[in-house]
Amino acid sequence: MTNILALLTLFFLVLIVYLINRIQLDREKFNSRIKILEEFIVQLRNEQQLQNNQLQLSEELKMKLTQINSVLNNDIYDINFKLVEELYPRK
Amino acid sequence: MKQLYLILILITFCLQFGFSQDIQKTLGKAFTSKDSSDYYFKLAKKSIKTEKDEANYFFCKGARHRDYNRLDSAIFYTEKAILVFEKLKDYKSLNTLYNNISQSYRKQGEYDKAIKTAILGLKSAENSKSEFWIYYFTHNLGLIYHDFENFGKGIYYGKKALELAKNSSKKDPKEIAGALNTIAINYDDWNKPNEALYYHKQVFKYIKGNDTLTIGSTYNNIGNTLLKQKKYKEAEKWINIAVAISEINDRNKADRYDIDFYNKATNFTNLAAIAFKTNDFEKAEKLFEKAKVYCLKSNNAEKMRDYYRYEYEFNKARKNLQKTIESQDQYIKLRDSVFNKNRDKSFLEIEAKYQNEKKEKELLKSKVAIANNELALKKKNTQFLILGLISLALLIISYLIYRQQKLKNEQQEQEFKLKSAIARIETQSKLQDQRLQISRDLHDNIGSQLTFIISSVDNIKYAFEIQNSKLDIKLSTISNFARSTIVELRDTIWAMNSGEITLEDLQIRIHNFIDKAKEAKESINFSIDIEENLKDVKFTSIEGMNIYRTIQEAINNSIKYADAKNIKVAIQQDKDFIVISILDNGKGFEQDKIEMGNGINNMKKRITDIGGEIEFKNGKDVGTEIVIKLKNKLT
Repeated sequence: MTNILALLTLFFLVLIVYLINRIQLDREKFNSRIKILEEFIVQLRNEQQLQNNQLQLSEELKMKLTQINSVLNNDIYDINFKLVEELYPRK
Repeated sequence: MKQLYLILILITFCLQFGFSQDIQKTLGKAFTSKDSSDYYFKLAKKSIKTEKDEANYFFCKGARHRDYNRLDSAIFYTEKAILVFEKLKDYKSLNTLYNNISQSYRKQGEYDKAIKTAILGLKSAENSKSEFWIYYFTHNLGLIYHDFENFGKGIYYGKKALELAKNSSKKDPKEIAGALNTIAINYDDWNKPNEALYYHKQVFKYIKGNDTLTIGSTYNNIGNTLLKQKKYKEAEKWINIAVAISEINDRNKADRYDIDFYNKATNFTNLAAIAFKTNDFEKAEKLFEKAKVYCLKSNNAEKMRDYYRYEYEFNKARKNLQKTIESQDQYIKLRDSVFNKNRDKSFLEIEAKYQNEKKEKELLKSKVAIANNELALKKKNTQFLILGLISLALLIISYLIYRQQKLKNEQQEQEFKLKSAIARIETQSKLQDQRLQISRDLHDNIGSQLTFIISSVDNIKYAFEIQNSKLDIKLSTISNFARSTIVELRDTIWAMNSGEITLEDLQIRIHNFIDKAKEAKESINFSIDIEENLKDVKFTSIEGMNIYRTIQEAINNSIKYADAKNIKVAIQQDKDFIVISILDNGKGFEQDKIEMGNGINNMKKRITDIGGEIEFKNGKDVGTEIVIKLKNKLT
């Protein structure tokens, strides 16, 4: 009886060690998988940051172009006005 | 009953030892034959070959002599047989032999020897672990102590025998009846008739029908108790039944044994006593005569003693002085021979020795039992400890399984969240990518349109030889404006296409810008110095673009408003910061006196947007120094 119980205890101890080891392995496996995903996310974030920067620059340029557009419009209007004055002087 | 046991044991004994066929047959005949017994014994003696044969010869011879009441001879042969069987360590045979010799001594009134041999027999029975013989010797001790008038001990052994009989595996009713009888006769002679009758009558619970033939002595003993209670008629009735049973038994075994003189002696002595107590002297005299014959033939000291005691009382009642004295002398002589003080001392010593040995044995047994109990307890404790460990292990295992499951769920959840985040970022990325693509297309479109405007304006200017100076200036302004817009567009596209911008990239870009500026104003001396270790410092496109635009604005201001001849750009490291200094030798300005234009505000905004600091160091006619302080990403 005692021997059987001792064997049973030994079996349970081995089982505990096995379970702890398995948990550790699972955790390591998961961590490595998560690390890859995190690295991927970081990479995506960097790319997105780059895109954001590019978009921001584009946005700034757009604003600038709007101003330029308005200046050019005025200039072209002036030229047209002056051309008309040149071609059809006031009497 | 005793004789039956003896025959059975003898047969078993013969089979067990398997001595030669001849001696076995011959001893069998010698033991069972009544008339030719001596002849067969002589034949058997001639057939003796081994030590065992000789022992068996003595065994049978002793038993035969005992059956015929030749007690001295019986004792002689039995002792011889015992010596050989002790050598052979044959405890089963020794049990029978010790019983035979003890019974012989008892009949002779040699109670010390009877008790000694009974105790030796008890030891042998304990050695052979025979339930029957342990009971039988205990029962015999009760009887011997009774005969010796030590009734207390007699009752003690009787009760012990009763316990053994009741607890034995067979629970033989005859054994129980024997023990009850022993207790009863002890109480009877101890003058406790009520107790005696109680135990006597218990016998009839166990013995019924034809078996009552085996308890003739019980009928006699009840009669004896009633005699002492002076219930003479009733006593006579019971004793007569005992006599009848004795007659039947004698008839049944007449072919092998002599008459049972012992029981007859008891019965007739009691009947004689009843007769003289009821004043029937004539009948009493006849009965005493018969009783005397049986007593003498029984060769039993106790029976003779009892006989002489009643005869003495009878003669005294008849006032026959001569006979009274003779009977009294005989009685005293027998009583003294039986109840010798030294003898009492001798067997008391033997018994004490036996009891001591027994106690030592029991002590040893109890020590062994204690040791075994301790061992069992220790074993139990170990088992409990192991069970505790197992329970703990089970708990740990349950916890580990639960934890593993929980961890798995958490991991799955986390993984799912990350994957969702990735999917979301990817979607956003795609969206931004599309927007960027649209922007790029737009920029390309705008670039080509601006180029078209420039070329159209230039064509107009040269093709139509415009005389109007205002118109000419206006066209030039549009052309220059479109050009500068293209430059700005190119700068932005450059920044957008460069993921990261180093200070070295900025240096090249600024040089390009200065080269173009020099086209308009050749007198400017321009220098840009970057510390070697800072050349690889990287900025994001926004940061790079803002730094570039700020430096560009500063240089523009120096050229446009300060009328500077020397412009010096220096990029240095100051502890954890990168310090960009734009120094000119122009007119300078007083910050508090001039209204800040869009340019300076834009410069401030750009630098604060990228987390830096900008400082204007100037005064009238002392030139201007603009210091930009940025966090060094390399440290």
